[in-house]
Amino acid sequence: MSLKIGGFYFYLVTAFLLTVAGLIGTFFLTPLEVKQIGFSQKIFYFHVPMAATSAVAFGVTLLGSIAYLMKDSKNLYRKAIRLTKATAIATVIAFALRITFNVMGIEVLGGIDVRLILLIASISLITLVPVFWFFAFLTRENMDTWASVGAEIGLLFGSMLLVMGILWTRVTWTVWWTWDPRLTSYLLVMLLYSGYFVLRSSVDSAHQRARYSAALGIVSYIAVIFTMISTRVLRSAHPVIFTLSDPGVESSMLITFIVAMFAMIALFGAMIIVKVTINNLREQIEDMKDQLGG
Amino acid sequence: MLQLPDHITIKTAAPFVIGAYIGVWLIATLYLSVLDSQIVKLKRELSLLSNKASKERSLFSLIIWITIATIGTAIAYFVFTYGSTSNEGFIDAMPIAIYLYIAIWTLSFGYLLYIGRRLFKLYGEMQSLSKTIGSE
Amino acid sequence: MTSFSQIWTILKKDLILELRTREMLISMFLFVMLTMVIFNYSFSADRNDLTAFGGGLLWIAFIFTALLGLNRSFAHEKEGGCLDGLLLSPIDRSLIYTSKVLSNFIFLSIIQIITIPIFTIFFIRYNYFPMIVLFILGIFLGNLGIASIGTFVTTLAINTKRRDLLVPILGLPLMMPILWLAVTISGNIMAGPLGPNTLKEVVRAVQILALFDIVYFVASYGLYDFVIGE
Repeated sequence: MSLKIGGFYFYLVTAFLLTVAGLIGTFFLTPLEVKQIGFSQKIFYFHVPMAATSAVAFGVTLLGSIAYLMKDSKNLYRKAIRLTKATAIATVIAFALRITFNVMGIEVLGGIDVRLILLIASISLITLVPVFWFFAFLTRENMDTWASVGAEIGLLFGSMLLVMGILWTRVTWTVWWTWDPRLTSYLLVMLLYSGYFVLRSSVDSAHQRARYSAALGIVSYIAVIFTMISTRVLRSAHPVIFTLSDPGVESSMLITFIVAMFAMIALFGAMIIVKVTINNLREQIEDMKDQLGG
Repeated sequence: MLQLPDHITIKTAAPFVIGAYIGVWLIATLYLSVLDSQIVKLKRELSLLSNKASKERSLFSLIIWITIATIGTAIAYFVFTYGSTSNEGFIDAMPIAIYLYIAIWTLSFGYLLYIGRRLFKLYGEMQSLSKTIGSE
Repeated sequence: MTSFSQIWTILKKDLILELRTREMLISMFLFVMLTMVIFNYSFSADRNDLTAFGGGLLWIAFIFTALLGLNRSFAHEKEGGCLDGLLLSPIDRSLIYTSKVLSNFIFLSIIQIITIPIFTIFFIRYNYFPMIVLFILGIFLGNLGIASIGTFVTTLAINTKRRDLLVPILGLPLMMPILWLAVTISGNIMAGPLGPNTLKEVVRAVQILALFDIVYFVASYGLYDFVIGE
């Protein structure tokens, strides 16, 4: 438990220092972007990190859900074998189709830089997984709590993201909202995770609730991944800055961006520890009330 | 002078940028006050269980939020009016505005620190209480 | 019994049950027809050429019909205690999923085969028959996606307190990408002759839709054990 408290203070101090550094960097140290969108580009430095942090938060939901189901089920081995078989068959079919299409001269899903997706995925795994397992498994807490708190804070960062995004859209494109793939799919992600909480409120038994939310949490992450790759796969007006061949921004901008990124993730770390502790405490108090009352 | 696109000058963009950043801060601080009120409620329940009186009221968190939100809005208004005459006016007003913005974030981080400390103290009390009850 | 014969047995049961009463099919069909009449009235009275909106309207009608059908297909299972019976049998849960997906897919397809020609006669002023293969492929993949994720969500919702409300709330966001891609395909084909760029876009949408179907099916197949039963 003291590991968590230490973690909280670490994340808090780091978040504070990095946020201040990021803000100073954004407004004083980076040059004004003059090619396309001028002063409103300053929103970018915190907008994208918030998007990444909400993806991390929903990733915590995913991992928590998987961890809960792993602890919860009997015959997990057989199910895992079956899932692996199904995935293998699906992959073989997908590759066969791709080869067929290539032979027929039809271009298959051009424009997705798979290496970039793999790079992003590996970076997220490297940063996210150790943090999560370190706190969660080490304390042997209820994974369901972590999953639901992840969704909650994901919604928090998501709403902050939407506020920034809407105002940014208003400046650059003079409309408050467009039905661009990324905006639409992110709105759907928000609605889906709100539905996650509707599901949780409509099941009474704690064990059943945890199981159902875990299943939904895993499937919902597909929508999050779709949001992340939607600007590269579908036609979109959303700016695409980072590619593998060219960083897309100058070095001072890149450094400020990275500082802001770590600031947001540290803030997320502090908040998730607080909220998980609140939820655990609430559960313990309920248990104690039952114990004393009954 | 900088060559900016015609329809986006600093003067037109700045209110929206300020709005975005202040909006983010408002939502974050509002969430902190929600967490605060949850902690107050838990504290009251725990004190009921351990038969100790609790003097805290959940209204306190609301007051904190209103205070901080007022300060934030005041900053936004300041930047709007003081710097709204020209691009150069905004560039002059900007340092003060950013320092004020950093100040309100410092307030919010302080609030989070305060919340965290109270929460962990409460958690410690809970652990010792359950040990006492367990041994009875 | 092999997996395939198990799937076929459950599927046969659903099909025979439905074909005997035809209750669900008739209600779904009436629902789609009424929706189309509403479309006529929601747009200005002068225009009955909705060719440009064809794809969107078609799939709006189908999605809501599908939600209706999904709700019904599980409701009578739950009421009749059939679900518990299935759970007691030593059958693999994911095979139940596969057969449910197939039965929902078949019912949706039956409704669509009947209503698409009617919709074309009512609203579309362009003869898209030359592109019929691509069109049917788009419809087929859209159905499969809706059936896959819809069955998963309905099973999830069936044991909760607000089951009828939960299926649209959870199902619609998950179905949105499928809906969107299916509308791109059907809408572009119905709206007019396809230029090279549009054809490329449609083929690309078909590929992404197929990918979505595979992902949704595999994910639901693997997770189905956890959502069926209490």
